[in-house]
Amino acid sequence: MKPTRLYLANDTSAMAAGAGRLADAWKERPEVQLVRTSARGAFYLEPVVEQDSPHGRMAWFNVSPDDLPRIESGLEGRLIDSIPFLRQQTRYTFANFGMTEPLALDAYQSQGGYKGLITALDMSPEAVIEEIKTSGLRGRGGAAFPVWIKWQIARQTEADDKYVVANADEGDAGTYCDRMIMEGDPFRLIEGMLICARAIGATRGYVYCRHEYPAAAATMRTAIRKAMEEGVLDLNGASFEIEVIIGAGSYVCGEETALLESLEGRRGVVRAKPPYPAVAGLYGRPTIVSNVLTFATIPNILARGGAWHASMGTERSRGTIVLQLGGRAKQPGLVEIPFGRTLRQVLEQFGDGMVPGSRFKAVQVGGPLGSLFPESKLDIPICYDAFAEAGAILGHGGIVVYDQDTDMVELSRHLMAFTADESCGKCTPCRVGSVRGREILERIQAGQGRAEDLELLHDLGDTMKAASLCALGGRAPYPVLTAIEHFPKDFRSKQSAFGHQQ
Amino acid sequence: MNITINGRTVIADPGDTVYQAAKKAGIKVPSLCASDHLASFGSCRLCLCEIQGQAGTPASCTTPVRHGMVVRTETEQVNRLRHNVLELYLSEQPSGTEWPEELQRLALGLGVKRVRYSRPSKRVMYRDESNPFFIFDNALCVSCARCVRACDEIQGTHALTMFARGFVTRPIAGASPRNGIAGGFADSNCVACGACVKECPTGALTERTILQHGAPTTTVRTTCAYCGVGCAFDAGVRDGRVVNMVPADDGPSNRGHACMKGRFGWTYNEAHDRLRTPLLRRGDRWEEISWDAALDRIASEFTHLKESHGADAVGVISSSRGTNEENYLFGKFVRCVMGSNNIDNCARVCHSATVTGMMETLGASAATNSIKDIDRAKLILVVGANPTESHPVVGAQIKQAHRRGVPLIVVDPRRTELARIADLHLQLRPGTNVALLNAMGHVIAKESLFDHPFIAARTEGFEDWLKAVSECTPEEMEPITGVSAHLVYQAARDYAKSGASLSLHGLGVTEHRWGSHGVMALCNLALATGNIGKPGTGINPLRGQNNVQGASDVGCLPTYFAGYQSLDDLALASLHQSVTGRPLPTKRGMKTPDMWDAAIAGRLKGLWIIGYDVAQTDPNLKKVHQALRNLKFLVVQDLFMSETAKFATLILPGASFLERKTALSQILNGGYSGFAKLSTLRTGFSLIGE
Repeated sequence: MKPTRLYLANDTSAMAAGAGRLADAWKERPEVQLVRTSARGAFYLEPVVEQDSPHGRMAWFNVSPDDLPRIESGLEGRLIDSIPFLRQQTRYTFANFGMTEPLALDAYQSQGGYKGLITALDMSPEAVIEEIKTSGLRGRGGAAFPVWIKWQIARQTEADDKYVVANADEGDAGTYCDRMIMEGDPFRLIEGMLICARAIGATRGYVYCRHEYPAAAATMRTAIRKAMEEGVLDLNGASFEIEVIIGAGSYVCGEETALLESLEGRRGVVRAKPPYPAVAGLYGRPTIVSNVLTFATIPNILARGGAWHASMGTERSRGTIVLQLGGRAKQPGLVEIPFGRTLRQVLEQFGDGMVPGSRFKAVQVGGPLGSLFPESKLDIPICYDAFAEAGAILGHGGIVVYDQDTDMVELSRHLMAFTADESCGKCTPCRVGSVRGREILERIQAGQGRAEDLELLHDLGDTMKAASLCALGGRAPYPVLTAIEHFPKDFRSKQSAFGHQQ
Repeated sequence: MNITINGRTVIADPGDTVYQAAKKAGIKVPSLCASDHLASFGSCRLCLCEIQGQAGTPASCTTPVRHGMVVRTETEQVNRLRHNVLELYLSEQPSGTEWPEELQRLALGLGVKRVRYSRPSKRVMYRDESNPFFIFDNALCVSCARCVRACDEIQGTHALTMFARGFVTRPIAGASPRNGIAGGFADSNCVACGACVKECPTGALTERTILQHGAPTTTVRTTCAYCGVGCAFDAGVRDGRVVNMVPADDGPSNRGHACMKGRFGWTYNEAHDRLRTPLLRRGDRWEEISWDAALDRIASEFTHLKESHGADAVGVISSSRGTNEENYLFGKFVRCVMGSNNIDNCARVCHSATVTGMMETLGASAATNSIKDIDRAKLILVVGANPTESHPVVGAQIKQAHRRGVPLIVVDPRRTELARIADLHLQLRPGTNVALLNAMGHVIAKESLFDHPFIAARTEGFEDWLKAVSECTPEEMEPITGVSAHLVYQAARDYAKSGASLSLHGLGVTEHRWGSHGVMALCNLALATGNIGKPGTGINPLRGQNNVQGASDVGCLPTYFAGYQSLDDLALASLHQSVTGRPLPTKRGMKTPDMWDAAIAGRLKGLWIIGYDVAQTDPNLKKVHQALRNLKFLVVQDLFMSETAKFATLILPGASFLERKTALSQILNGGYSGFAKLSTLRTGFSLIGE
């Protein structure tokens, strides 16, 4: 009897949810052919097991080893496409997730992979850059800088060597799309880097992968090796070498210049700009440092055209955004949609409200340095400019939902302490300021706040915003200042010493 | 280009930062981390400014100027930010002590009267007292990293790094190369050049002598007396004593840098065992005598020896640490009073081959270019020299050039520090210089890498040289030198084609049987390729003593008069007669080795050795000691009871460079006035006069 083909993600989050236990339990079963795939990104459903059917993929959710008979007989499965969480998304970058085996190069190709690269190789480098310009693509790492401008500058700067660097540091807690791409669709990242190399005339590429992603790094290395063996990395007659370099536990190495310092073997400390990396980056050569997701978006743009990409989204935020829902949302997971929906719509349509027993209190968008949004502020459209106007950031698309049990003073203290711990220490506003901010919050927590402390916090916050060398110090005050703005009661109740003279 | 700062039109050079342009225009912008000697860093965030058309408050030190830029360095926002940033700096200083002077000064200027933070955490209490010359106290530090950057960018030793990250980050000396343990400055690669101490804005790094004696109240410009680089220093003086030596930023050869010797090695000036009075030998004891008695004794002894045994019974060995004025007078004493040319100096045992070789080839035996040409060279060739150890400031400049991308070729049997970083290291066997250099010449000839117009217009004897190098193929020289032929080809091509190749050489070329020929072979490479007589080129001997060049220049040589003029020159002879009233002796005098032979044979009976420890440093010490013992009357003039002084009949105490005021000819061939001090010591100058 032919064994049943079952699909199971080997994504790290899926493994954390129990996929590994299923694999261990079932690997000796002769009637089961277990195929490990990328994850769907609906993590509230993991472990997910899928099976082919005449109507498409059938899926079983939150599976335990005993569910095998049920699955084998096809009972109680659901069509994966019927899940609202997935159906309501417009997945292009993540279109193949859940379907493919990450390291199957021919499968990648047959599903449309490398069309972008082939198109790019047939165009002049200038035409490639023009296509990116038409697409309106802005960097997905957080700075949201127009991608084509960086490529243009790097192309035009004369140098004996140029580099393409994928920023895979993904340090924001609650973000995981880069990890998913590296673990689940590594050839897409490689393709995006190759297109960039073609456009700027680069000779080498690097993937700077955070130390905490061992599976992603291993998968990338294997994918690169396979791509090289298949001749995929041949560019302009030479083999474009890509090396995976592992980080060493530093959040600030997600900042592009600190990343370059680390890549060069130095301490991960921020460089002053100018010069910008596109002009003088790695070893002083023109370098494109872009987020993994940015590179993963590129192949589709070349394959389908920049105009296609620009047809989605808003006026100044084109294409799709990949959000990563987490925290106390009922349905945490990866959401790819065009720019323009509101935060509220995302939380309702995809997050489906709160975990039972939790009441919404606030949501933080953009990582540990993001602004806090109370319930009254959720009607903001998700696009770069609306957020910038509100003094907020989209960052890398992380959305963390907090419930009634979250004490805003403790959250503020925690996030300020995070900055203090991760500060590279080069500039004084961040190095000292983050510690001062944390100390004030600790005193407030201990009931020893003084009358002038909130004002001091604001003055300190203004100073860090305006005077810091990079966005770590620059954004550090936002969580606490938005917390004070929207949840003053949390602070007042702690500050029983309001009016207390020091 | 024109930019506007605070409403004023200011002229800026392209490549300037806004901070630099403001500084040049005399507009003061506060900073802790900026330095004229270091690349912009952008960490202190005090130099913020506002630029029209640009959002925010960028740091002026990392903002390049643009034509027509409109900058404001004093706005309400900028001043408030500066106030708050300085307040953060002050908040981490230990309580109960005074803020470092620089922070006090900034606080006054920015109106910071108190720190608003309650019980803020302080800097880590850490002191490094391992280095004998300075201490590091983290309590006073502001983590500006100027010390680390100085060690990287100026000295090129990379002994320091910033340690950890975040609030506690501070400078630390690297691990010991011996055992890998980071114990402190003394265990690391630190060479105690003191660049970090000079850069430190707050005194976290401070000289021990300052801590002991207090900060200087005045400074006196002087030149270091240790080596041929001739670093300019500002000697810090307090209560009549020197309390520190700070390299001068406008020193033409050192430009604000120094090495351990000049920077810290000057306290010998006050050593308790300095010779203070003339001493006369009485058996195995020394009797203190007066200056008058000493001078009378010298005069009578030398007169007696000359009258009884002739002018060749007496000689002088002069000091390569003496000033030009003093050395000229010693020459005059020998020629006009003693009637001979029996005077020599230590050039005899080091660069005399340079003197001969360069006189023969170029007609002049001093460096053809100045130290500044290191900045203009497009390739640097170092032959038989180890400047990072012997001329550290020049070594540092070579390393800086190399970091800027200037190729470096080192010819040396040892794997020196420069050899390790060099683009090409020709590691030849000792004694094979001529073979190697002629092999390079062969390549230049074979591949026609000449500068034909230069050869035609400026040289002669080209055909002879071609003949001489025709046999020296790199392949045939390889078994002699041990250097692979392909390296020789590469070195020759690179040297010839760079556009401006600068050569530096040392005793690895000259202290050889065929030293002069080695120098000539080197000169010929420069002549054949036109790498001489223009910026960034030349043949540049690294002279050791601070005034060995000068001592030879002013005539402390048995074979030349001052200025290397010929002793046979008739016009010179009549000039000498009319100026001094005495004839110029024409008989060649004794070189130092000749003096030893003559002393052992009993012909040389009297000798005056000034500031030169022959009994310690000359070759063949057994012979030197035998010679000294055999003399009838030996006068030794020195700062300390040196090994040579122990042989003396009469000892005269000397004045150190910190106690004189005269000129030296150092690598830059320039003069510098020194530091004058009242003392019981006589300078050589006044001594000879009497």
